[in-house]
Amino acid sequence: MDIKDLKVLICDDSLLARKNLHDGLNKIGCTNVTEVKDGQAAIDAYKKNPVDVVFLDIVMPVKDGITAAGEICSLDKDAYVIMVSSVGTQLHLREAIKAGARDFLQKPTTPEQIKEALSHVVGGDS
Amino acid sequence: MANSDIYVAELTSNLRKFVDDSVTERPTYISPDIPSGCYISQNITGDYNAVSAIYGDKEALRQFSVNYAKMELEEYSEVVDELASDFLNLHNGLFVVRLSREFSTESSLDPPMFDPDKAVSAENRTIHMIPYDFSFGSLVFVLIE
Repeated sequence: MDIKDLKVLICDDSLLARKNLHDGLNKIGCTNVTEVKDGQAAIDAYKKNPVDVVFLDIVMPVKDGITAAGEICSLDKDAYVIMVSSVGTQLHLREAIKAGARDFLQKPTTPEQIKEALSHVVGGDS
Repeated sequence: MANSDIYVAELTSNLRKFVDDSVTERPTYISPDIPSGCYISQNITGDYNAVSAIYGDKEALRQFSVNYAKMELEEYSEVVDELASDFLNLHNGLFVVRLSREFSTESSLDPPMFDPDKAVSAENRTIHMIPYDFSFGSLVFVLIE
């Protein structure tokens, strides 16, 4: 599978963060991208239409990203969740891994960082 | 170094990096009251607790958001407030990461707020006022500990 073939779900309450990540994905050829604004919406979207990669913010209303990561990974043990957050503390990193996240990107992200993260997805890394 | 000093140092650095590389910090001071019309804010919670906020006139906020988001925003709207709160979230995140890495102080953030009907309150806490002069006008950041 190529990065261009990936189906991606972006979950972030920030309009700007969703736009930047979406633009970054488009820049590297990844165009099958859906957006939602909170953790519960991400879980509902994943149930309805599983994707290859979920990018999850942590700090969100309704349901935070780490809780959402845990629920998505419980639904699907093969779910590939990448946390994207400004709050890349040691505690959050540990909690994210415990919830089943495979990677963590510290905001602000660049297209190069996104491409590297997705290369692990298509490369079969865990 | 006090956490408020670290906050201001990080803030100046992040404003220069993400908004305006010519921004100038003015002396910080303690205020007895929250300024009227201050509603763009975010709670920092955990080992270190504080409330952060940003306020200023609508035109300065609009230009701040234009610079930060690199988006065209010809007039003030709720999007301006949301983008300003996004900067607050980014800066506060980088600040708590620094607290975690350098001082093993673990904090987190609540989602930022920008409802004009919900002004920030101080509840007998210390109100630090952190004014900045940008190339397009002045804004004040507030840190309540």
